[in-house]
Amino acid sequence: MAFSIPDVNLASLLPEIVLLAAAAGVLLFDGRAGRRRAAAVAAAAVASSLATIPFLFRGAGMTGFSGLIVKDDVTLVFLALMDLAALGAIVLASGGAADAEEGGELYGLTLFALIGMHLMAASRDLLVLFLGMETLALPLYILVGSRRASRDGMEAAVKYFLLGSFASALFLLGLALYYGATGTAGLGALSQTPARPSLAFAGLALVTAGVGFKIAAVPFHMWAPDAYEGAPVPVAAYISVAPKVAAFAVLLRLGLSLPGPDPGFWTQAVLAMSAASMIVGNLAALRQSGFVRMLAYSGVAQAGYMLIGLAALPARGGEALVFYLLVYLFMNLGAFAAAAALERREGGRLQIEDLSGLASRRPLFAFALAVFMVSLAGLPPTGGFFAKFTLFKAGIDAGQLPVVLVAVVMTVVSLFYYLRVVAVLYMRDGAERPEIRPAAPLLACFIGAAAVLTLLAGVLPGEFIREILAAFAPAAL
Amino acid sequence: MPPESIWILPALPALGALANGLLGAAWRDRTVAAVAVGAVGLALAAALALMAEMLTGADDRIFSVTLWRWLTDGTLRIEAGLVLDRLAMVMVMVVLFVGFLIHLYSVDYMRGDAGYRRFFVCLNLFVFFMLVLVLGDNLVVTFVGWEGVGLCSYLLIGFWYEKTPASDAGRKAFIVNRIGDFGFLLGILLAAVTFGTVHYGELARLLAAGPTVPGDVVAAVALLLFMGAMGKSAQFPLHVWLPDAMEGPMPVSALIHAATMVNAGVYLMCRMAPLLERAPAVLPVIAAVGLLTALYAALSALGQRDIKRVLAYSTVSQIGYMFVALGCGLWAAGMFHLLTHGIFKGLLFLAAGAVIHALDGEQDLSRMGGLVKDLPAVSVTFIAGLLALAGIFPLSGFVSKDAILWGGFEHYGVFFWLAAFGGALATALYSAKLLSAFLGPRRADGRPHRPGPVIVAPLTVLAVFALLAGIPGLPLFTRDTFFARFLGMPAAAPATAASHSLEVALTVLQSMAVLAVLAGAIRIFARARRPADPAVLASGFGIDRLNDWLFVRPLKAVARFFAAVVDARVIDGAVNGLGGLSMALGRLTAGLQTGQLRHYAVSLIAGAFALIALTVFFAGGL
Repeated sequence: MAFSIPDVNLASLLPEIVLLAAAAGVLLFDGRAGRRRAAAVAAAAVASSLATIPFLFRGAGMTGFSGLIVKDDVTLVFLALMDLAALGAIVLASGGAADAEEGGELYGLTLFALIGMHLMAASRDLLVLFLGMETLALPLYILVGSRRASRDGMEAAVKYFLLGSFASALFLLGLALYYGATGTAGLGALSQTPARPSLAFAGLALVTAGVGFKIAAVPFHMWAPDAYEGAPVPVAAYISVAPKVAAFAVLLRLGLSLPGPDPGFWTQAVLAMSAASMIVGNLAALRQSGFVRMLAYSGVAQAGYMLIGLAALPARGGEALVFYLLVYLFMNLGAFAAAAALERREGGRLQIEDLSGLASRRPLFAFALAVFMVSLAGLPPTGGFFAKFTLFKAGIDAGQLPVVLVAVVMTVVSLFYYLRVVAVLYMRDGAERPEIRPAAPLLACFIGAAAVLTLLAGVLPGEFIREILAAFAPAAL
Repeated sequence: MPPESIWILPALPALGALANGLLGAAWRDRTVAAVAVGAVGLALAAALALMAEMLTGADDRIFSVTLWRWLTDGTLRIEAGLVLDRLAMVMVMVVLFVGFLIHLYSVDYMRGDAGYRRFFVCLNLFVFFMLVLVLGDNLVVTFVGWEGVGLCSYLLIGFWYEKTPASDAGRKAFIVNRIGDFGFLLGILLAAVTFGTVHYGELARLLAAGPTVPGDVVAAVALLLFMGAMGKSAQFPLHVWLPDAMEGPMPVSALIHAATMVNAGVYLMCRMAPLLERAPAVLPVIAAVGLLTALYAALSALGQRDIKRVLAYSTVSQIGYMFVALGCGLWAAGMFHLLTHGIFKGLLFLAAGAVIHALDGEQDLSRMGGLVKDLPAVSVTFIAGLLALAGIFPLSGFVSKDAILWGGFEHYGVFFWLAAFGGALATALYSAKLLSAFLGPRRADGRPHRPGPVIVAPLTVLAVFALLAGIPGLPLFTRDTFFARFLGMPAAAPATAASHSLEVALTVLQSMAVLAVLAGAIRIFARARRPADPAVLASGFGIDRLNDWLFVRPLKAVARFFAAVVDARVIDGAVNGLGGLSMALGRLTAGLQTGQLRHYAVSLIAGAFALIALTVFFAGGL
């Protein structure tokens, strides 16, 4: 019996190890001062993980654990995106009105979830992927319920946990079928036609469903509005961006592992999810009066747009998807940061009507929020416009005209609820609204930076796209 | 100055707007004004330095700089680039020179207004966008500036937004301009698709290389761009917003709605001259629209009693003459009239503003009279501008308009010339009407208060230029004027070469007729203004009624039809129907979110089954 020592290469997981150490350490901090220190340590850990990326970028990627972990250029771009999202969430949590009762565990859990996402993006094996997904999911369940005093928060956490377990079960079943059909859990197995195609494809579909739960694609989106609304706003911000990045990294990898040039069967499933997400997300968002709940449905719709990128594989869909995620990171985190800054102290939910007349009282703040809304709606001169433009163009080039048409029509529908926020900000008199306290300086800086980046992505899209193109250039997938 | 530094021209007013907008809240009015005026003054100084370099350097001295690449899509490259050639230099000079004087004038004129800082922020922002429009080296950058000045115009027309007419007028200007911009945008897209570039230099090179593109496509691009120009430059029938735009403060009318922004259409057409020369069928259209506008607006000006509205219609009419020049292929003549008109019409608006200020807001011409005695400085400058507008030899307006009338005669024959000449006579008539406010007996109660030196100084400078600006248009009776030589844009050859002596004879005839009409009209107005028969004035020579019958009623009928049937039933019905449908569907989908965990779980399972079915079905496995 041949016995081979696996090629571990622990260095390939160095950032994750740093994150793990920081996450464990942060749990020990307690009290008010501890919270501040925990935030600093967590931010430093994420920043150091982010700092390793430029060294590995451009061909100098790493593999470890006999190929179970691969950090190539595309993976690194995704890792950078989720690190940025985590950094944003930490800033939000430290500056927002999160209840003072919890200690450092908020930041520790954020870091644990980040480790899970790193694993998801870097893994080339469904089992490792599953480990990553669970490492991500468990901290998120706790985070959603972290406002122990809030009944809604507890209910949301329980619902999220039960549905998440359901999705994990689907994923595991898919994994079993996949393994049964191909004899391996590695992702490359489908590049040749497997022995039992139906079994393998059913497995693939279930795996996709499990990952689709993470991006809140219809019909796996039901948890999102309740969880977003029940969770503290910084947590909702984190959930709305970071797991999406990780799950799209996985879906992109899945899509590219299929035999080219036209892996029609999987694409059809993606198209169906995309169209359903855009339709349901946008239509349901029309009638929301709560700001965060509106953003939750908006997030469902945005996931639908992004799925178009997957339907345009292996052509330019990947680049378009990553560019969209980048812009989405700025504008969505920005919108949530604004919500965090406005969250009222008594814990009531922020209603869109509460924003009335904000433009006359806090002009810069209102302008930033308007930028995020206009960008989410996909209007120039913001990054959201170019993000949608490149994504739709990739879709058309790949011959997916019908879904792009759905996307265009639904974009028009979405104007209503995004621009309603702008209208309320600028055209409604808000004299009788409660006074809003100024945002913490760090949070204000974050909102400003997000607004500037959202605008810059619209003015200089070439600069943003260039690095993404470079990552995809050497067909090293 | 190094040629790359032309970005400093738009950057300075932008900085001024930023400084005042972000920090100015804590500043005193004096500081705010100093920053705003200083920013434009510095830009003017920089422009003069560049001008000096351009004049001393080689003939084809062109400054250009590419700031960054904006978008690349296949072969189409869109860059944020600026170019300062001789054509742009003329516009830059008008914008910054007239703009600087108007900024200076506003320092005093707007004193005490609650929105003093807001006014200067918008004004600086306007100059920034105007320079972006002028300096842009491709259609897209020009379009950015084009929309920017539209926005500033909207903000400034509705500057006194508490007044309903002001905010309505702002909205009207915005909406009418969208119609033109729609054409402009389509034109840009068509140009990008057909030529694969939107860069002016590359377009000119492609068009010069030979007929690679079918002529009718070139014509379509030209027509669409002209549609944009019609909206911005208030050409019939998209002129309706300009008279209403006079609800804004006077310096705004002078700067945006007389001297600079409304001329952007003329500038755009000159920029696209290589394209228009390849589309000979479009030139007569431009000339016809220009002539129609010139005539119609001159007649309308006669019917107005409000001094600002007379000037507004006059502006529409004079821009019509510029388009007549472009329609004859006389780029230099069109740009020259733009230059002289920018000076004397800016002057007229500013002087009228001083008059209105002095009379405590009185705008009705019939209540003005004998102002020469009370406001000598303002009156003299106003009359200088008026004589230039009427085209009295040898003022600037005479030189520039004469070239246009002759061009019309040469290219489109005697009837075209007659109509254009008729417009010139109408110009003399309404000039006389304006003039009557300054002559004759006083009609206002109380003594008007004289304006301060900060208001009179810009007027004096502009008046001197209104008198002298004809010099670059010399020598007369030739296409090879100093201005044309500076501009360096060859004019299209006339269809039939008419004799030189005929041109001289026509010019003398025109001058005589204009003088006679002006002199006669002043007498008529002086008599008609006796309180005995105010009916003549009130009816405005029946022009208002004529307008009403000819245009307003049919248009209203059409409008009513569109409003009642097309808009309310078809469009509103469709839009509201779709909106209602969306909302109903929204209620339905939001209703799916029951909050019941078991429903969510069912959705999850059903989704998983659906995905399996789809995947396996499309894989052919079922």
